[in-house]
Amino acid sequence: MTLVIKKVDEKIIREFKAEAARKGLSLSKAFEEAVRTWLTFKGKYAVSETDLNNMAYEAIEDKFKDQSGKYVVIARGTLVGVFKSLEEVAEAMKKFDPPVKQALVVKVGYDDKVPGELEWLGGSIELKSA
Amino acid sequence: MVGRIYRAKKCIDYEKSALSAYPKINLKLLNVRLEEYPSTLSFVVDTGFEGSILVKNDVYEFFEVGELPRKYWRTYSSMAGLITMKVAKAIVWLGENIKIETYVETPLLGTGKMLVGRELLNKVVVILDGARKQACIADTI
Repeated sequence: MTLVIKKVDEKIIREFKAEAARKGLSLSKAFEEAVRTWLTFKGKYAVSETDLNNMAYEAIEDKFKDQSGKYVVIARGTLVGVFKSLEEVAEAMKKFDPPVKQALVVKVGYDDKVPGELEWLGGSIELKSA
Repeated sequence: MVGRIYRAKKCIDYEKSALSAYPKINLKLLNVRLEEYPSTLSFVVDTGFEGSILVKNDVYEFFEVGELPRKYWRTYSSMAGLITMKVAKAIVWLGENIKIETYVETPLLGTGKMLVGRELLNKVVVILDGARKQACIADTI
């Protein structure tokens, strides 16, 4: 069938054509592949919420270096806010509807100190029979 | 002689094992939404574990709402080699408005265990009464 679509972003179409050419696909085949992928992943994130939150944090973490003791909260891939206490964090988190399943919370100057390699001695060793 | 007196607040019996019973303590944990985990959790006291609280994967899901970024996850050197742990914020509620901000961790690979390590043990008073086979959360008088 023939499909005509109007008012599509020129830049996206340019990139789409270039990618189709790189893959050696005709425009119609590339369009079919794109639609099939979109339909396969409908309702699902191709990138997980955890990935989105981590990318968002890495993009903005330097802005909070001077806010030691405050809590930076990232959810749904964006900054929710910077809060003075865990009670304020809880209030902000409870406003999400539906509730977020995964979010990042960092207490600046405390949680962002990487302690290096820690130890776990023989704690996992148990006798199976005496 | 130091002459210090401790008052046991909550005691639980050691868990039986093949040869030597091991001390356990019960803790109430909250996530960063300040929601209490639906049940009281029981943890083996493990002074060989340098972290705070190790939990099984399914328990950790409750705390994912306050996870630390991946770059701050922890790596442990164990007898089985290096183990990477996911880390999330949690609050230990000891009653009487005593709340301790801490971390729960679970292995990135593997199912995990339920134990409490030195990072938290160093913030509370725990009596190991081996003769009675009881571990107690306590305070000083």
